[in-house]
Amino acid sequence: MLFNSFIFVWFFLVVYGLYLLFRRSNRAQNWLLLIGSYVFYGWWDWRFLMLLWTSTAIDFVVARALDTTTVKRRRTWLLLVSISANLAILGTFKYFNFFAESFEPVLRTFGLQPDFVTLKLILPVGISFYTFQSMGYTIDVFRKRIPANKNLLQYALYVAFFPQLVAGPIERAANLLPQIKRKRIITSAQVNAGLSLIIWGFFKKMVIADQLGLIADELFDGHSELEGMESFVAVLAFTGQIYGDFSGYSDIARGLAKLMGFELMVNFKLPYFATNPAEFWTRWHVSLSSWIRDYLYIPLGGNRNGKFRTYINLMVVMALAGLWHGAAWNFVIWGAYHGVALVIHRIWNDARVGTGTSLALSSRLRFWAQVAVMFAVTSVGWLIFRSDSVTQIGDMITSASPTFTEDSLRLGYKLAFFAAPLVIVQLVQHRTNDLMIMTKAPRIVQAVIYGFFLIWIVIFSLREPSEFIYFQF
Amino acid sequence: MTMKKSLPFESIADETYRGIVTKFALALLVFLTANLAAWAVLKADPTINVGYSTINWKWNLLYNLEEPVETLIVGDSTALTGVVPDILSETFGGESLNIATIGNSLVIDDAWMIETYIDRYVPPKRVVMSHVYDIWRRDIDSNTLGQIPTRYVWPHLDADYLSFHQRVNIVLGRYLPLYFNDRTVPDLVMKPWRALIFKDPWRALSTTGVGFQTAQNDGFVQRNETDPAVVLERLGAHKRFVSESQYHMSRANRTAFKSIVSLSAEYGFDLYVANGPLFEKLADDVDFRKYYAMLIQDLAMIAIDSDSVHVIADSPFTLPINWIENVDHAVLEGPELYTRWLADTIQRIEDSNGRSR
Repeated sequence: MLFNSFIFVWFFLVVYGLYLLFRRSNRAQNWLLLIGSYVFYGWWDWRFLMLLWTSTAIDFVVARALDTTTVKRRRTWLLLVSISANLAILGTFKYFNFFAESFEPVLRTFGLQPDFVTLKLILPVGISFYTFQSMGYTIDVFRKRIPANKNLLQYALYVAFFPQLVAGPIERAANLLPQIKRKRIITSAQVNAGLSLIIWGFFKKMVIADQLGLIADELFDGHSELEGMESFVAVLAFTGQIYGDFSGYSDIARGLAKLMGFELMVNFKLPYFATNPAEFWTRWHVSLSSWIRDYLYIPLGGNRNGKFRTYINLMVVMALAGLWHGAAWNFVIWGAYHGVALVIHRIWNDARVGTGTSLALSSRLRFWAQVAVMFAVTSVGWLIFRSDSVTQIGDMITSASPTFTEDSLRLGYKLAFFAAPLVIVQLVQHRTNDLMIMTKAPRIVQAVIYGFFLIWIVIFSLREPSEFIYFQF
Repeated sequence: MTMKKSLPFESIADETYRGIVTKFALALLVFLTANLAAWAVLKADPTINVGYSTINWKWNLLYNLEEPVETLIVGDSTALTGVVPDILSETFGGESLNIATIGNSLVIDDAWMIETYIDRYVPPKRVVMSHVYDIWRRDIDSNTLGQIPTRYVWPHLDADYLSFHQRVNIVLGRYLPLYFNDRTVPDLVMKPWRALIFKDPWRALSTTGVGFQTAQNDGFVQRNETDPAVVLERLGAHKRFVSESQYHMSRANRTAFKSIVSLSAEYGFDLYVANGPLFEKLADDVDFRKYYAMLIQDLAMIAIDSDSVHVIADSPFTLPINWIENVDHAVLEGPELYTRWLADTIQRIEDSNGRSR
C-alpha cells in the first residue's frame, strides 16, 4: 500500500478514526496498529508477512532468552542466532541471486562449472529496514542497553509499525518501544507539526521527486545519445529526485506517527548543506548511518586502532552500506566511493590539523564553497547509484560539456521549475536552522503555502502513483 | 546568510486545534479559489487546449444551428480536418455541417450528437461518419467526454456503457480542471507566457485567422502544414501498432455504433461509415491490411440487417506524403481529394439505390 495512493488515504482514515475511538485503552490501540500494520504490509503480498513474523518471533524469543542468562558464551550464541536468522532472511530474499550471478563467471574462469539455482524471488518491500530494526533491538538487549520486552504485542508493533515499516526511519528500540508501552497523549502541537510534515512530504514526493524522476528517466535511459549539458541535468534531476522521494517518505511517516502521538527520529537534516563527507552522513538517512556507526563501525574498532585501520573500517562499512541499498554492484561502488570520500576527508583534516593551514576565505564564502564542492561530490555519487552499468557512467561523463542543447534547455527549465520550491524552503530552514520553520509563519502565510502545495500536488501528481525509490532497499 | 555549524533541529510550535482548523480550511479555500480561476480561464479562453475547445465549439455549433442541414458529418479529427462540407453540398445539394471532434471522444460523441440533432431539428438525409481505424478499440476517456458542456452531456449520462465512476468523472471533469485537465493546466502553469505570446491556438478557431490551420463556420478545419519526417516517424508507430495488436472493438464504441445504426433505421437517414484518409505507405502494410479488413468486416456485421447503413471502402482512401500529416490527417489539397472520393462513393451507392436527388 503506497502512501501516495487513494487506498492508503481510506486505510489511514479508518485506522485513525478507530485509534481515536480507542483512546482510553493503550492495549486496544496497539492491537489496532498491529493489525493495521499487517494489513498495510500484506497489501503488497500477504506472503511477505511470513518473513516479518519470522524476524519478529526470532528476535522476541532471543531477547527474552538473553534476559534470562548472564553466561557470556550463551549470550553470544543467542546473539549469533538472531543475527544469523536476520541475515539469512536478508541474504536469501535480497542477495542470493546477486551473489549467485556474480560469482558464476569467477568460478568459470577457474574452469569450474557451477550449477547455481537462481531463485526467482520477489524482493519483499522494506526487508532491509525491518530486519535492521529488529537486529538492532537484540544487539541492544545483548549489550544491556535496554531490557528485553516481555510483551509480544508491543514488540511486534515495534517491528511492524506501519508509518516507518517499509522505508524507515530505522527506529531504535530505546526510542520507539517506550512510546508503544505508555499511553499516548496527542497534543495539538503534534497534530500541527504532523500535518505540516505530511503535506510537505507529499509535495516532495508527488511533485518534486516524481517530476524530476521523469527528467532523470528520460536522460538516463537515453544515455548513449546525450550531448552538452544533458548529463548535468540528468544527474541534478536524480539528485533532487532521490532526496525528494526519500525525505518525502520520511516526513510523511513522521507526520503520520505524530498524528498518533508518536515521535520518530529525524531522518534528514538538510543533507545538501553538508560541507564535507563526514557531515553528509550525519544529515542523510540519519537512522541508517547512525545504525551502521553504532552496530558496525564501532564494533569493528572505529577510529580507535590507528589511522590505517580507521581508513579500512570506513571503506568496509561504506561498501556494506552501499550493498544494503541494493543487490547490485553499482550500489557497492557507490558505497565504496563514499568510503573513499570519507577517507580523503579524514586525511585532509589530519594534514590540516598538523600544518594549521586553512584557505584564506571569509567564513561565509568558505562555507558556500564547501557546500558546493560537497554537493558536486554527492551528485557524482548519485550518478553511480542511478546508473545500470559502468558503460552508462562512462557515457554520461564523456558526453558532458558546457554547451546548451535543445533538450538540456527544455529539461533544464523543468528541473529548475520543480527544484525551486525545494531550494527555497531549504534555504529558509538552513537560515533559521529549524526544520519546522514553516509551522511558525503567520497562519495566513501557512495557509497560502499549504494551499499552494495542495494545488501543485493536484496539478502535477502522476495519475498512476509511483513507488518510493527506497522501497526496493 | 550566515554559516551554520550545528545541525538543524526540529522545534515544534504551539498551536491550538482551532488554529489548525482555521489554517487548513484557509488552505482548502486557496485551492478551491485556484480551481475556480482555472475553470474561468479555460471557459473564457477555451482555445488553450485545441482538442477540448473543438468539442465545445462543435457542440455549440450543433446547438445554435439556424437551419437544419441535409448532410451531417461526424467523426474524429480525421473528419474534422478531412471532410469539406461545401463539396458534399455541391454534390448532393442542401447544406452540410461538419461536427466531427477528436478521436478520444469516440463514437459515443457521434451517437450523442446525432441524437441531439434529431431531437432539436429534423433527421438529416444522410450522416457521414469518418474515423481513423485505431479509435475503434479505444475505451472511454472520461476527461475528454467531460469537456462536452454539461447541459448537452446531461441527457446522455444514463447510457448503460458508462460506469458510475465514469459518470462522476465526466461531470467533475468540467468543474475540477486542476485535476482533470492534467495536461492543459500544467502546461499553463509551467509556461504561462505561451498563452500570452503564442496565439496559434486562437487562430486555430478564428474564422478569419490565417495560420497553420483555419476553422470555418461549417465546422471544417483546413490544415496547411506537413512535416514528412513526422509522417515517417508516425508511420513506424502505426506499423508497430498493427503488427502487435489484436483487432478488437471496445464495448463503448460497439454499443454507440449500434445505437447509431438503430437511429438510422428509426429516423430513415443513410449512414455512410468510412475510414479517414491515410498515408499510402501505411495502407500498403500487410499487417495493416489484415487489421483493417477485420474492422470493416466487424462494422459490416453490426450493420448487416440495415439497408440504410453503408460501410464504404474495402480499402481506405490514401494520400501521398505531401498531403498528409501524422499519417492520418489530410492537409493542403488532401481534404478536397478525400471529400470528392467520399462524395463519388456515396453518389454511386445512392444511385444504385435510386436515392439520388
